[in-house]
Amino acid sequence: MKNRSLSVGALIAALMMVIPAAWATHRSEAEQAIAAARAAHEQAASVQAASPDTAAMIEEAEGLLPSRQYTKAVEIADKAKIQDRFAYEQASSGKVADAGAASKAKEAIAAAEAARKKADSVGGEWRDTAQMIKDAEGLAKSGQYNEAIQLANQAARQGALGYEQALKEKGASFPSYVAKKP
Amino acid sequence: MKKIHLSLIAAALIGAIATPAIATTPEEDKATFQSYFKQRFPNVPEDDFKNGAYAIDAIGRENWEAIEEFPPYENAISSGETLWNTPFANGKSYQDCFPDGPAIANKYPHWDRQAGQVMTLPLAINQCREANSEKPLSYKKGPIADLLAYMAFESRGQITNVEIPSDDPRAIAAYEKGREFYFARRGQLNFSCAHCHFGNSGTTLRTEILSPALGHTTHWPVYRSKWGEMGTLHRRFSGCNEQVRAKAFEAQGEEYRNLEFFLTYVNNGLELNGPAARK
Repeated sequence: MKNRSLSVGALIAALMMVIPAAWATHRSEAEQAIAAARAAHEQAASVQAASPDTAAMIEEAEGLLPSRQYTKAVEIADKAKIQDRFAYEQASSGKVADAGAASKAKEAIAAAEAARKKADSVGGEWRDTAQMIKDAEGLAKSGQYNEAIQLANQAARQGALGYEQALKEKGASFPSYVAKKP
Repeated sequence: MKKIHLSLIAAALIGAIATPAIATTPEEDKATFQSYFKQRFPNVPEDDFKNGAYAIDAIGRENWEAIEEFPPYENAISSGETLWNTPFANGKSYQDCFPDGPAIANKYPHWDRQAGQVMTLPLAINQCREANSEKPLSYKKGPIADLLAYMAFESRGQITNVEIPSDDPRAIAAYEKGREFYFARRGQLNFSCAHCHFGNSGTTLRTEILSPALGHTTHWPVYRSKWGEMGTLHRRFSGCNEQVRAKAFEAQGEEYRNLEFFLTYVNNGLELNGPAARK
């Protein structure tokens, strides 16, 4: 009986230690991520490679702290850090990493943006397409060209489908199962 | 001969399937719309549709009635009244723009012949502000929702009565655009407004009972528990669009104004009972 109580107690103690760490991001983690992002930004600035986009992202992450959106703040700060580190490495080494892939990613993103605009022109843009393109741009700036191309292609497909959908739905009216009442 | 008969039957069937039962005039649409819901919910008294999902959900209604004992929109009404009575910097007030007073919700939306567009009450409020050198208010929440809450409260008991002038083809076109918007599939989930609030009204979406479209325009603005604050009809339109993963349109843009024009017209005859509380 005593052994059982001890086991239950140990289990509860273990859960209390593990669960909070799994479900929540602490403010200190968000602050650390922001500090790391800022350091990477300053490093990139030292070789004139810092982007105003990453500065805006760090600011955005900081702006999330008062509303306790720590997980989102960490996510944005980490993205900024990766982009600034990549920019620093490129600038300090004087090499352009995988120029072919970079060019393909640029083309894929441009195609996705064109598809999004086409869908928007007929009121058929989907909710997440613009964000996907923005994320693809971030990936390309981090040197993750294949991931950027993949995401941009998905966004382009969304744009094409949204455009087709809007054209197909022109003239939509009462469904056929509704009895007409003259 | 038999082949000809078969071909004729096939052609007729294709025609019947491909051609939706389109009601060609607004009046026919309204009759079709209202009759559909009355047949779908035969036990709901006609004047109860204005209560949305609570007209068809007994347990939800009990909770809602308890909430209505201390309505969460009361502060909005008070703030709205203060706004209404506070003069602009130039000394004029809303009363100068709306000489009939705040109880005018049943006059909106209406067709503005001069501007050639649908005029909604929030748009008229901001036009009044701009005409008096005040900054326009944001359309989804905040002070405009308070002001609308006060005006809706003062208008309680009025009857929805949207008129579509048959001699102005632009008005009919705006109405038809609103109808098309309502029934068009959109977004990644490929849903129209009607998929949830027409054919599936009364069924459940996860734990929620989908409210019938008949009654959707009577009670705005709304204190929505999910929002934890007041919001306008166009805020709800935006939210619905985003729920089906479509990009939302601008509040008080042409798309949502036309949608409001259609939806309010087919709700003609229902009593206005805003502001309201919803989940």
